[in-house]
Formats: sequence, C-alpha cells, structure tokens
Amino acid sequence: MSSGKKIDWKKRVRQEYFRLRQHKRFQRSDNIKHAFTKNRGVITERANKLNEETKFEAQLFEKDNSFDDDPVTKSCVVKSSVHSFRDQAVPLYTLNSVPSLPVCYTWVPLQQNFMVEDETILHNIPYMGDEVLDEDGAFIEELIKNYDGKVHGDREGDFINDELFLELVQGLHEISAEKPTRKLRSRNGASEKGKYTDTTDSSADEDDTSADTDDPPPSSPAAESSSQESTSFPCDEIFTAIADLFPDKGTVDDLKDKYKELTEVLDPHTVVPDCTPNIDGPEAKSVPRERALHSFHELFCRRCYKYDCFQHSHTYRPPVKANRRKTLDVRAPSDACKNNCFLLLDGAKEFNLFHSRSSSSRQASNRKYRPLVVGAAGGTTTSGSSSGSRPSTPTPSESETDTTEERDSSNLIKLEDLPQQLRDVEWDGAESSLFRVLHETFLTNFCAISKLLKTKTCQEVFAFALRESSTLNSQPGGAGGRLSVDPDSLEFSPAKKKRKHRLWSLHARRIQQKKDNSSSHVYNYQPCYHPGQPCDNSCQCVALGNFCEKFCQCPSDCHNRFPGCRCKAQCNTKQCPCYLAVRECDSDLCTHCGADQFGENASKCSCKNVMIQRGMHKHLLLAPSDVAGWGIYIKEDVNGKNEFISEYCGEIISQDEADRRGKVYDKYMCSFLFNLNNDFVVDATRKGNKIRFANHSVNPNCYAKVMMVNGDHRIGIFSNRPIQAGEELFFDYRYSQSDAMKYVGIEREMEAA
Amino acid sequence: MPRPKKIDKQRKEDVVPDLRQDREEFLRMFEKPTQIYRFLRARHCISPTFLHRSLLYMLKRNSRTHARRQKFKVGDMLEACITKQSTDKLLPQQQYDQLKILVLGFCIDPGVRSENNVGRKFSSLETQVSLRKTHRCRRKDGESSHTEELVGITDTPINPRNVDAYEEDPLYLSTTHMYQTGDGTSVKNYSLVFRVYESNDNESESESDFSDSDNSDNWSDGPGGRKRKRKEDDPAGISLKNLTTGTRRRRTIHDDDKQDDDDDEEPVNGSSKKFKKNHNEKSCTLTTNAVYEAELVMFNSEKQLLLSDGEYELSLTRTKSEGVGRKRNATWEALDGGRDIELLSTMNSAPVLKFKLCWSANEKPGPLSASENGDTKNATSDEPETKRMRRRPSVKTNAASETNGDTDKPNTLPVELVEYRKSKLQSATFPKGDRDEDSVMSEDKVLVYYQFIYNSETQQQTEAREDLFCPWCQLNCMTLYGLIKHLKLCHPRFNFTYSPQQHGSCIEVSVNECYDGSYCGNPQFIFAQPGMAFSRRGPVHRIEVTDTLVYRPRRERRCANLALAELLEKEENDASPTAHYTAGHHRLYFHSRNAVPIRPCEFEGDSEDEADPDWLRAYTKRMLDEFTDVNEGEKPVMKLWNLYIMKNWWGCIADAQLFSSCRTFLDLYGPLIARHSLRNNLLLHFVTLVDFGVLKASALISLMEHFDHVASTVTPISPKRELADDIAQADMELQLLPALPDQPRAGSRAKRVSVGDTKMGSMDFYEHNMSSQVDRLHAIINHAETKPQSQ
Repeated sequence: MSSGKKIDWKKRVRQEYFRLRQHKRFQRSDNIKHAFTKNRGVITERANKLNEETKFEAQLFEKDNSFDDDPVTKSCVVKSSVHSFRDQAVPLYTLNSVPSLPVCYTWVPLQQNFMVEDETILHNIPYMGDEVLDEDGAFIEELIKNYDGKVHGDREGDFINDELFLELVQGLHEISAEKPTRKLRSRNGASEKGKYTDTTDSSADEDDTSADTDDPPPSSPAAESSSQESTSFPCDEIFTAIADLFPDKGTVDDLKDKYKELTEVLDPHTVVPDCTPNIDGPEAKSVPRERALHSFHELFCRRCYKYDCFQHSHTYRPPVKANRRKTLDVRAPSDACKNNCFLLLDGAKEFNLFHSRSSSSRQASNRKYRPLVVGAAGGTTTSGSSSGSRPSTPTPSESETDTTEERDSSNLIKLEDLPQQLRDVEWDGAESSLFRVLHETFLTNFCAISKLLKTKTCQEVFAFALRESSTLNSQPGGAGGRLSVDPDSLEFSPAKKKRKHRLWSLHARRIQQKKDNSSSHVYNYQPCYHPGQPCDNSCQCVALGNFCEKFCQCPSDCHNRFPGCRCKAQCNTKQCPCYLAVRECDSDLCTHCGADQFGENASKCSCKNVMIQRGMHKHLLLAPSDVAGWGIYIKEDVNGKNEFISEYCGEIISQDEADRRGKVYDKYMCSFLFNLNNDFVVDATRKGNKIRFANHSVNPNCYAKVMMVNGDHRIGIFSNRPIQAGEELFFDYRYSQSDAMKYVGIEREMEAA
Repeated sequence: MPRPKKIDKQRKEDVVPDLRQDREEFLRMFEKPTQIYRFLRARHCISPTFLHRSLLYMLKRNSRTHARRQKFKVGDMLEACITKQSTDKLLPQQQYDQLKILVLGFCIDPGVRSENNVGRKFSSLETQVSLRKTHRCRRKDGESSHTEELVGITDTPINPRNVDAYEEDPLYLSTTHMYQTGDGTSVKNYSLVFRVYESNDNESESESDFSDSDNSDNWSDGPGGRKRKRKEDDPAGISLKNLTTGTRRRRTIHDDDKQDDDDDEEPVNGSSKKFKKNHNEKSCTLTTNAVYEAELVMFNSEKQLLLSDGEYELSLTRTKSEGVGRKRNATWEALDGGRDIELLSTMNSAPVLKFKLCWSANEKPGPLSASENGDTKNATSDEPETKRMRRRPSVKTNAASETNGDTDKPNTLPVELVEYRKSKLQSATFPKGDRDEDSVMSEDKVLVYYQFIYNSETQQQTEAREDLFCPWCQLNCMTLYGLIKHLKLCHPRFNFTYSPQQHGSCIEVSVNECYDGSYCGNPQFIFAQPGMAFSRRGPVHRIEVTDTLVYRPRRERRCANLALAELLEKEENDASPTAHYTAGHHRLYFHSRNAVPIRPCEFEGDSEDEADPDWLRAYTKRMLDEFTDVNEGEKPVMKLWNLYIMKNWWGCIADAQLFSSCRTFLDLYGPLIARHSLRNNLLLHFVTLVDFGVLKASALISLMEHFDHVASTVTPISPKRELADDIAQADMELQLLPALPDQPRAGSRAKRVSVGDTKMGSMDFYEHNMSSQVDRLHAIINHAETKPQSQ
C-alpha cells in the first residue's frame, strides 16, 4: 500500500511536472506571438507617423515604385505565335549592380561603457560554419570546459525554477486536497503537520482510484478548493516526491522552506519586510531617517548620479558619505521668518543659539558629537551620522566648556513650555519621517524644514523637534558618531592655502615618479573607505597606485588626492599635471583651465582635456573598408595631432570573462576586446559605438589611450597626425597603455606575412 | 585596317589566314571598348553629363569669352528681352510675306547604315519643297483633303562640309495669301513638304563603287578623280572607322568583296544575299521616286505662324514604298533620358534635312531666338511632324564655323552634324614601322598617327588622321593637347602614350589592362531608389563626392599654355597623387546600426549620436522595476531621474552642474511628479543628493521652492492614472523636446546635437523600415546579379 502510494506520487509529480512544462511552453509561444504582433503594430504605427511627418520632404523612401525615371535600355517583346494575340512589349530597365556589403553582426549602440557580470554558463555554442564544427569538436569541448560544463538550457529535462516549483506543488496539492477538503475543514484547518499527513494519507487512498480513471485533474473544482483552503499546507508526500525527482534541489525540508517563502512573497498584502512603505502613499509609516532614505541611498551612484547605474552597480560602492560638511550650508535662522515663527516663542532663540554653539564648540574641540535627533530605532550606529554645520556659525567661543553647555541645556525650553495647541498637532507617518530626514540636514533651522514640509508651520516643527529630543534623551547613549576629522575653519585660512600649494607641487613630482615606475600596471579605481584612518599603505587607492578621487571617503586634504591642474592653457601638453597623469581634467578640481565651464559658458573652456567626459567626439561614418571588412571614416578634417576622435565604448567585463570570450573571438578571427586596466576589459562585440569598426594598421593615423575620467578608466582614440575628411581611421591594436589589445586575426596574419 | 588588307592584296595567297588571325586579334582587343565608347558618345549627344567646352583642355571649343560676365547684371537680361520684344512689335510677323527657304544639306548620320548607301551613291540630291494645304471638308468634319503647290526644287548636297560655303539659291514662298482668312476658310492649315529625290547623275556609279570599296580591297583601283581627292582630304584609318561605326562588317569581307555593309550584319550568308538583292533592286527604283519625305506645319488651323527664323533640322522618313523591310537601323537604342527616347533617336537614326528659314531678307538670329524656338516647339509639340524637328541654335553653328576658322582648316566639318567621313590613306604610303614616307602629306596639316598595340605588345597597327577629332567620339578637340587630354581622360579603357614625331604626332594606343570597369561615379546613385538619383521631379539633396580634393598640379609653371610637354612626362606622373587623394571621398556611407545607406539628406546628422538609445531606456526602467524592496513611490522618481540623466548626460558631468540639472529636471518632470503627488519622494531624492555631497542644502531649499512653483499650476489627479504609462509618455516627450540650451558643446557640436534630434525621426524610420529596405536591396542585388555584365 505504502509503496504503491509512493510510486503513485512519483508518477503524479512527473505527470504534473510535464503538464506544467508543456503548458509553460505553449504559454511562452503564445506570449512570443503576442509580443511579435504587438511589436509589428508599434512599428507600423510609428512608421506611419513618421511618414506623415516627412510627407513633404523631397526624398522619401517609398516614393515611387515605378521605374519611370530609370534609363530605358531596350524594349522587350514577347511575340505570340497566335496571331490574334498582340505582342507583349515592356521596356527593359537596367538596374545598377550593387556591390555586396561585408558581413556585419548585430551590435547594440552605446555611448558609454556598460558593465556586465561574468557569464558563468555558456549561453550558446558559437556557430562558425559547418566545417569548423565538423573538424574542430575539440574547440567546443574546450569551450564548454571553460564554463565548467554549464551550458544554457542544457539540463532541459530536469529543469525547475521557483515559479514552476510553486505551481507544481500547488497543482499537486489541489489533486491531493480534491476529496478530503471536507474532512480537512471539519477538523481544525490548521497547518499541523502531523495531522496533515494523516489526512493526506487517507485521501491518497481515495486518490489512487480516482487518479487512474481521470488523469488530468478537473480544474474548476480544484480552483475552488484551493481558494477555500488557502491556509492549508501541502502534504509531505508531495515534497518527498519532488525531492526524489530533483535531487539537486535540496532535501524535503529545504523544499518546504522554499515553498513557504514563495507563498509569502506571492501574497500581495504582506509587505516585504525590508521595504519601506511609500512615503507619499496612504500607508506611510513613521520610520527613522535611515529607513526612509534606504532605497535612495542604496541605489544612488555617486559617480553617475544615477540610480542603479550600469557601470558601478556591480562594483563596491562605499556607503553614503558621512562627512557632508561642504554641502550643509544652511545656517540657523536668526530672524523670524514670519509672524508666528518659532523664534518668537519663548526660549526658542536660546535653544537655537545653544545648538549652534554646541555644534561649533564640538567642532573646535574635535569631540564626539551626539546628534540632536537620531533615529531612535536601530541602524543608527552603522550610519554614524555626524553632521556638522558650517563654520560660519555666529559665535564660536573657544572658552565654552562642557559645564557651560550642560548648564545651558538645563535652562533650555522644554516641550511642556509650549502652548498646548502646538503640542497636540497630529503628525502622520510621512511627516514625521520627513522631519527626521530633514532635521539632520537642516539641524535647528525649523523654518527651512517647515518650508520643505509644507504642511506644518515652523512652530509645530519646533514642537515636534522638542518632542523627538525628549524621547531621545530618555534613551541612554546617543549614536556613536565617528571622528569629525578636520575642522573646516582651517580650510579657509591663508596658511592652509599655502600648504595646499606646496602639496600641489609635491604632487606634480609624484605623478612624474609614478609614471616612470609602472605605467603598464593600471588598476581599476575604487573609492576608498577607511573611516578614521588616513590614506596610508592600507588604503586601497594607495596600494593600487591610484589617486583618491572625490568619490573617496577620505578627507579632501588627503595627500593622495589628485589636486587637479592649474593650467590656463589647453591642458594638452605634459606641462599639465592632469595630462601627465593620463587623466582628464576634473570639472570639480581644475577650475583655471575652464573645465568647470558648461552650457553657455562652454566657450570659455580652453581646456582640451575634457573631450571624453563631454563626449565631444568627431562625426564618424561607416563604410566598407579599403582594407578588410568594414571601416570607419571621419567626416570632418582633423587639424592636428592628439585630437580626440572618439571614445572606444563597449561592455566592461572582467579579465576572466575576457579570457573566456576571447577564445571564441580568436576562433572567429575577429575581436573587439580592449584591455582597460588590470581588472577589466572593454568588449565592443555586443555593445559599442562606431569606432569599433576602426581597423588595425601598423602605420596608423590614430592611437588609443586609456585615460582616467572622473574615476573611471575610459579609452580615448586620438589622432596621430592631421587627418583629412573622408580618411579611414586606423590604430595600432597592439599599442595601448598596457600593450594588450588583442588585435584582429586578419591583421595578425598580415603582420606575420 | 588598311595595311593588312593591302598586304593581303599583294600577296594574297599565302598571307590570308595570317592576316585573318591578325585581324581577329586586333578586333578582340579593340572592338569591345570601341563599341562602348561609341555608345557613350551617343548617350552623351543625347543627354550630356557635361559640356566639353567647359573643360579646361577644351578651351578652344568655348567660343565665348567671359569678358561680359564681369559686368553682367541681371537687369541686362530683362533689357535685352524688352528691346527684343519692342522690335518684334515694330516688325510684326504679318509684315513678312515672303519666306526664304534655303536648303543647306541632307545629312545622313554615320551610324545609320541603312541610309548610308544613299549617301554613297549620290553626291547630291534634289529637294523638292512644296506647300501643302489641308482643306477642311465641309461634309465630313473628320476628313480633310490636301492640295499641294510646288514651291521649288533645289539641289541639295549630301553631308555638306561647310554650310556657309554652300550658298545656294533660296526658294521663296509668298505667304501673303495665307493670312487672308476670308477666302481661306476652307484651308485648315498650311504645311511645307520636303521631298528629297535622287538626282540621276553619272557619278553615282562611282559613288556606289566607293561605298563598297570602303571595305573591299580593290578600292584603290576604282576611284574616280573626285573620290581620290576626298580620300586625301580625310586620311583616317579604316579600322577605326569600322570600329567606330559600331558594326561588324569584317566577317564576310573575304566571302564577298562586293558585299554591302548592311549585309554583314546578317549572320547567315544566305540572308545577306537576299538583302543585297533587295538593295540592288531598290537602287534601280530609287532613281525616279522621292526617297524621303517630311512635312512641317507652317500655319495651324488657328492661323498661327509656327515657324520662325532659324536653322532647322528635319528628320525625314522614307516614303512608304521603300520603308518596308528597312527597319534595321543599327543604332544604339540604349539612350538614357527616359521617355523622350523615341523622339531623340529619330533625329539620330533618320536622315536629316537641314534648311534655313528666313522671313526677312537679312535675318540675324540673336540669342533670344533660341528661346523663342523653344516656345514654338512647345506649341507645336502635338504635331506629329514636328516631333522630328530639331532646331539648331544658330549661335552654335556660328561658333563652330568660327572655331573652324581657327584651325586653318576650311574643310572641317561642323562637329556634330555630319559624320566624319573617313577614308584611308594608301597603306603603301605607310609601311609598317616606317613613317618617313609621309611625303604625301602636306606639311601644314596636323597629322596624328594612332598606333594600336596589341597582342601583348608584339603587334601594332598604325593609322593616321589629319585632324584632331577623337576617333571614338567624333569630337573636334581643336588642339593636339586637347585631343590627348581628352583621350586620356575620357577613354580610360585605353592607354595613350604620346610622342611627337617629325611630321606629326604619334599616339600609342593599347588596351588598359588595369581598367576594371568598376563604377566610379557617385555611389549614391547605385543605391538610390529608382527615381531618386536622376529624379526630374524636383531638387533633391545630393552629397558632393569629389569636392574635397582640389588637386592643382603646377601647370602654370611647367607648361604654361597647356603644352604638350605635360603629356610627355607621363611616366613620372604615373604615381600621380590624384588617385590617392580621391580614394576616400568617393564613398557611400552606411548607417552603423542596420547597414542601410545614408541618404544625402541625412548625411549631416550623426544619427548614432544619442546617448540614450531605446534599449538603454527600457533597460534602466526594467532594472528598477525588478527591485522588490523599492516601493512604488520611489521607483517613478528614480526612473524619471535616470531617464533624465541619460538624456542630458552632458548636464551631469560634475557636481557643480547638478543644481542646474535638477532645476531643468523639475521644469520637465515637475508637473508629472506633482500630478502623481510624489513630492515627498522627490524631496527624499534631493536629500539623497545632499547626503552624497553633490548638492548643497541651500540648493535643496530653492529647488523645492521651484518645484512648488511648478506644481502650483498642477492639480493632483484623483483617480491616479497608470503611472507607468505616464512615465513612458514623459519619456517620449523628453525625446521630442528640443535640445536643452545648456549643452557643454560649443559651435558645431551643439548644432549637430540639434540636428541629430530633429533627424531622429528619420533614423527611427530607418530602423523600422529596415526590413523593407533590406528586401528592396536584395531585389536590386538579385537583379544586378542576373543581369549580364554589360560593360
């Protein structure tokens, strides 16, 4: 009995599995069909629209289908042997012979590098013609070995994913629950497992008979039953059977856990625990600052200014920069904003003064700061939100001590002092969350906070702030902020400036040294983050020989920071430290050369060392090459040496991935790989821009140079000599920063010859 | 091919097969390119791609000076017109009551071989001019009857050399009665009828002899004195002639010496004999009948005068009896120019009668007469007769005669009118390789030897001409320099090497093995859709293909006056840099995404320029959608921001720029965000920017103030529209927006961006039409492949 049951379950699982799979396949093909027709519709619609727009243009596409304007060369007559029929005559038009084009594989246009993750499975076995496939099976084998034998869609037979698993379990559960529903409900519909097994055992008996008669489960009652017993849990038998069938998916318990997890996710009403409710929505909750900003902070890329950017999302990103002193330039209000400003309340001014003083005194004494309001809940420690105000706070008195501070604070206004109507104001979740968010930025400038909140007056905000602080005070120990490393006041003193200048000349020397030492080993830059530690040998920037960038968490006077140039010219000679360091001028650092001029002021920018970041590439044109395959031609004249032509864009892949892909490309004799640095390679095969069509030449008119642009390595193609409009562009694939471009096979052979 | 034939004549028995082989060899080398150039010449005559006279080396052909251009004003044209009109009014047409008809000549196009025999048979013909009145039949409206009045008969020269020299007695026709509409009610219209008769003089015998002797060996035995003279006048290689007339008459020469030219076209000998018979019969009957006829309407039924002063060319048709079975005009039918093909070819294939009409005694046709002629032609274009009429602007003729004078050759033919009549020199005069015995030649004449080198430079044939006509084009190059330049530049299938000789110049001709016949015109024309490249419907944008190179060899210094020395230095000029420089500019460019040719109108915009292609926009949206722990309020703000940054990436290079970027962002998306009441999320977004240190806190306040200002006009919609749709729409709107003013690019770059934006439509269009384009390209390619390589 029991064995028969087991076999039955296995069979059932298999049946159900294949049914689901087939169903999926049909669904998929249906989806594809649907998407296809939809796309066709979109295409025709847009084409029509564009046709409408360009109707009056002289050169339309499908203007005339006749050959009226073609030269007539001959009259072709078909004579009929039957006399009553007329001869059929038609003019013969000769069309031009059109030369065939070189082969062009599909690629995707891109104007900026795009980082992709390693492919751990082989997505397709490259087709290189029948002869290669026949004679060179070893290559394919090697290829598969590179991917540890993982080929996409390889194990089609026992493939199972979450979705399928869920459906499988549910489908089986419906079958099992088909009959015993009543029983189940009559008992306690709880998810006691022991009871469950009992019921399913008994129900399986009945199933035995029913399953033989009708294999496909009747769907409508099943749906009913499933809706009825949403609380019930599938029986163990199902999981054991599945675990038997798919041994690689884990044990029975794993499967159960997974099922639980998946069902929970599916429930639309249960919010994902990590997800903060929409702050604009009705379910907005009062959450601490960190949670309110969590998504934004996690996804924002400080280097691209984008959320979840393509280029840096796979690499390490330091947490939110803790030290934001530069941007916090809002001072505490000294004057009342309007008639009922909080400053007009009793004691508010003193409160304000106290806090501003305390913050400044804190800075002066380099002490740990205890923020006024820190989210009471957990997570504060990690963030270490040590905020500071600008140094220009009104009265920084050195003489103040802790005692005075404490004495002052004891005299401060308390929540109880405020009028009742202020205290009783209702604050909903969104408002209180926002207050916490803004309070850290604007400190005690309740006028500003109120302005941004829009829904509350500054008096109400003030009252709320007091309420918050009182609850906070009741809790022992503030957040452990970290050292606020440098006092801002120094930055603006004349002594500092001098030091900086010295620093700068020191830098210039160091760049020179660095260049002499190891130019061939360039490592990818990653912002360093070592709180409390200066950038010494343990800093990854220093270790890798990179400069600290503005994205680093180290203080701005870090000795490893690149200071920018002070050129007044074009920054295209080695006089310019940026140029010497193979960097583009940083718009936030180099202000003398005009790299910080944008927009209408762009004409003021004399710097020629900002071409890549500003994308000021030349207009390139694609045509069949004079040498091999396709080639790229320049549309406009290039007047001199070292002029920027274009950036070599593509996918950024790791070196390992490049090795794997390179195997295939070498076989194809066509490679678009370009070493970016020791860690990464640019591959323009799938994504890229037009310069990817530039051919190799030993006597080129262009050269490639990997430059550091705002913390990223990017490949610039520059002119070697003046180039005339219409010339084909070549560069020497071998010569690059680290001599690493794997050049095209055809040329490689030509080289050898 | 005179010389081999001559030898053949002398040692007939043993050399024949050799010679034959030799000639075969020769033909194999030179025939095909010659025919091609002949075709090209015909095409050029019909629709010229350029004017020879505008070429630098053809300066002599340009009779005009540019002196007047210096002080030319547009007003002058008007003035000229006005004066012309006023004189016209002063002398209304009714005042002319006499039409002077001066028949200048009867021209047979050399290419039209069916008519050639006539030319050879008769030195001159009689032209009968008569006036035909078409009467209206009272009873039947549809029909009409004709009456003819003979105006006169005049002798007409065939292919006259010099038009002016042939000043004959004109015929006069009184037209006074034609204006009187009162009695002429029955007369529908008046037309002039020209009939050409053969005059039955004795010379025709020898003429016919001559015509045959063109190809036969015994021509030197038979010529009469007059013929002899002609031959000396026009020394030219018969081989050239044979080649340039574009027919193959060699094949049957040895079969039948007397064989007529026409017959050689027939591949089968039997049929050719039949035609010969035909021909003989015809020549007997021709003596009395009118051979050709043409009608020219003078007054139409509205009593409008259709003819004006000037020279006319009227193509004649055979009278019906002879016209049967004589359709084998060996003209090239391949003429471009489209629909007018029939009309144009008639002028070439049919014999042309040239005459001058003159209403006043001393007419001097001015430049305006040409345009007037054009009007007249248009007005009468529905008349079938006038279809074959071509007016020759008298200016041109004047110019021709003028330039003829320059060359000190009074006998030079007007250039395009008459085929250059070739005859050959006695081959005895020029034995192989020995050119010293040209005693026959008069010293003052230009003598050009063409040495055809073939059979891998082992054999050569020499032919001499004493003019400066291009043997292939029949183009009078006026100067030797011009001739050689022309040969070199217009006939690249041959190599020409010039070397001066004692009594003339020698041009070695060999077939250019390097010529691959590859297309070297504007590549756009190949790919252009039918009707695009040569569209006559209106102006189209074209890419100039050869403008980038201005190659100026130091012509001024080395060879001041277009001297021949330049041509001598060919060897060192071989690696002339022209080829190198032009290499890059004769190119068709393609869109990089779909390999569709770039049309000229899209050439300026960099369509692949956009930093946010469709897929990337979709990708970033999808990536954000995939997060499960990002709530539905944060996602739209992030998406909008990302899309905005991707679109205006140049606004977000540096931290310093971010404030203005945020402002623009609010301008663009503020309303949308306000509509969906996402203010708090926006605030969080800005706070994030502040937290990351890229925005100042004070900037945050002003940004939010700006947002509130923007949002104040927008009322949040209560039933929320689908946010995703709205974002998609905003995305579309963003694309359609003009480029923002604050681009970092100055000058051309900025312009290009804007161009790119406006061109985006067409680019998308390309993408979507790619499939159809590709299909069409395939069709063209297939067609081209199935088409036999014509050249």
